Amino acid sequence: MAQRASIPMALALIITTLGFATLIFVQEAKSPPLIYGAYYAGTMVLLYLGVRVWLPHADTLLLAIVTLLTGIGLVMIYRLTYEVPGVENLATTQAIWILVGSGALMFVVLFFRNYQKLFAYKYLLALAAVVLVAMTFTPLGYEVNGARLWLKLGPVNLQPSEFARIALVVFFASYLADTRDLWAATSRSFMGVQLPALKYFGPVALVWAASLGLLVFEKDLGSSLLFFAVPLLMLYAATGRMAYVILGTLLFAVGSYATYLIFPHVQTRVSAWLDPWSDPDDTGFQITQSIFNIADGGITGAGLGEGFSQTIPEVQTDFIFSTIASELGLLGATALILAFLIFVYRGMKIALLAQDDGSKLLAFGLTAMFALQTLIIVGGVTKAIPLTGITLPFVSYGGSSVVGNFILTGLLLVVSENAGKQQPAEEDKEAGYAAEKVTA
Amino acid sequence: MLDLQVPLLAAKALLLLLLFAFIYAVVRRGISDLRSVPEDETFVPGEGRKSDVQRDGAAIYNASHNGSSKLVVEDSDILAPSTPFEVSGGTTNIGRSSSSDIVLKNDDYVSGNHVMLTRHGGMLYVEDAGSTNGTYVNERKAVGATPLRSGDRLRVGSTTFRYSE
Repeated sequence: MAQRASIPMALALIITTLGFATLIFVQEAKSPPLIYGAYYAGTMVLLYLGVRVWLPHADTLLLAIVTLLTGIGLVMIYRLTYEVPGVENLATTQAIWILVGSGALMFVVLFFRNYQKLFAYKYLLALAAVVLVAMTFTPLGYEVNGARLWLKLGPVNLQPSEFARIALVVFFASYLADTRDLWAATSRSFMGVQLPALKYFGPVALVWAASLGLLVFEKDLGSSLLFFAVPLLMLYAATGRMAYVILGTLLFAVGSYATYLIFPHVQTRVSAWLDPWSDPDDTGFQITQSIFNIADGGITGAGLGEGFSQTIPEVQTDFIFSTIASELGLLGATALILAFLIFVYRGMKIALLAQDDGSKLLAFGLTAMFALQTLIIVGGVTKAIPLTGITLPFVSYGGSSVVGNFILTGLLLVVSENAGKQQPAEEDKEAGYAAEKVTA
Repeated sequence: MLDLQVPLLAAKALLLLLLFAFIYAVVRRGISDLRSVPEDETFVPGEGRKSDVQRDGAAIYNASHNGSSKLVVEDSDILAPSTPFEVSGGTTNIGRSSSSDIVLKNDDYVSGNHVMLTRHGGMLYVEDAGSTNGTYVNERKAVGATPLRSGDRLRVGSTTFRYSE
C-alpha cells in the first residue's frame, strides 16, 4: 500500500507556484502576502512527511492529489478575487482553511489510527449528524441565497452538513458491516423484492429519512442528493443486491418529482437546466455564462487571468470548474478530472485491500461520496444534470468543505495504513524483495 | 500587447505540461499495483460467507473427482521451471531439509521445515511451520491456515509454485 509520492508532491507545488507567478508577473496582479504561500507549501510538505512517518504504510498518493487540487483552487480563487473589492483576501482565507484542514487531518492520523473504535459510537455519531444539521433551524443558523445551511458559531461560519455526512458514512459503514448478512439473506419479499426485517431496516431508514428530510427543508439540494445516494451505494456494496438500487432509484424518482411539485426553487433549477435560453438574464444566467466560459476556453484555454468567468455569480465556489475549463482549457480541465479519478481509484483500492467489512465499507462510502460530489457539481456546471449548489472538493472556496474533505482524506489514510500494515509484501515486493529476506 | 502574450503563452504551455506530468507521475505510481492484485481478493459485493461455502463445495466436488493436485514451479533460483510436484492427501512438507516431501535444497531463504500443506475436507491448507522468511500465497503472507485454490501462487523462499487441482 505504501506509496512514495515525493515527485508528484513537488510537481503539485511547482504548478501552484507557476500559477501564482503567472498571475503576478504576467497579469501584474498585486501579490498576496507571500508568507501565506510559504505557510501553504510548508503545511502540505509537513503533512506529507508527517503521514510518511506516522503512517508508513498509508497511501500518500492521496496527499499529492490533495496538494494539486487545493493548489489549483488557491490559484483560481486568487485569480477570481484579487481585483474584486470586498473579497480581495479570499485566497488567504482559503489558505487558512487549508491550514485548519491539515490540522484536522493530522488529528485524525494521530488520534484515530484505531478508527475501528469509532464504530462503537455509531449511534452517537448518527445522532450527532442529525443534530448538527438540525441546528441550522435554531437561531444559530442563517440563510444564504434561500438555503438555510449555515451555522454561526462566534466568529466562525460553518456548514454543518459537510461534517454530518462524514459521520453518517461512519454510521452506515459500521451498521451495515454488523448486519450485512441479514440484509443479503431474508425471506420476506414485497413485489418480488426481498426486504430485511424491520428491526434491521429501522435504524438505517430512520437516520436516512431524518438527515434527508432536514436537508430538503434546508433547500440544500446537492447535499440531499449525496445523503440519499451514498447510503444506497453502500447498501449495494454491502449486500450486492441490485433490488435495493432499483428500489432506491424508484424512491428517488418519486421523491424528486414530489420535491419538484412542492418547492418552486426546484422548478427553477430544472427549467434553467432544460432551457436556460428562455430566461438567460435571470434564472438561466449562471448556467449560460458557465457554458460560454467553458466554450471560450477551447482546447488549451485562454490562459490564466485571460478568461471572463467573473461574470458567473458564485464562481469561486460552485462554478470554479468553469473558470478552470475557461482558462486552462479542455486539457487543464481533463487533467483536473483525471486527478479526481485517481483519487477515487486509490480510494476504491483502499476499500478492496481493507481487511474487515467495516473498513471496506467506510473506505468505499467516503470514496463514493467524494466521487459523487465531483460528478454532481461538474455535471451541474456543464449542464449535463440540473445544477445543485455543492462545492468541488478541495478546489472550491469554502471552509467547511475544505476541512470536511481533509477529514475524509485523513480517514482514508488511516484505513489504508491499517490495510497496508497487514500485507507488507504487496507492493514493496520489487523494491524490498532482497532487503526483506534474512538468511534462514 | 504582443510582448505580453508571449510570456502568457509560455506560462500556459508550461502549466499544462506540468499538469500532465503530475498526472503521469501519479498514474504511474497509482496503478502499478493493478498487476499484483490476486483475483479472489477483490471485494465482490454481496459475496459473503455464502459464496465461500459454494466455492468450498465446488472444491470438494473437484477434489473427489480427480485427486491429482499439483504444485508446478513457476519461477525459482534452484529448480527448473514447470517442474511438477504431486500433492497427495494428508500432509506435505516443504523445506530445505532432505526429509521434506518437497526439498528446496541450497536456497538460503528456506528454513529446514518451512511450510506444511494439509488436506482437510477437500481443501488444501497452507500453514507456515515457523519459517524465518515466511510463506506467501498470492504475494500475501500466509497467517494461520490459508486455503489454497486452483491457480493460486505459493512462494517459499525464491521459489514460486502455481497450484492446480
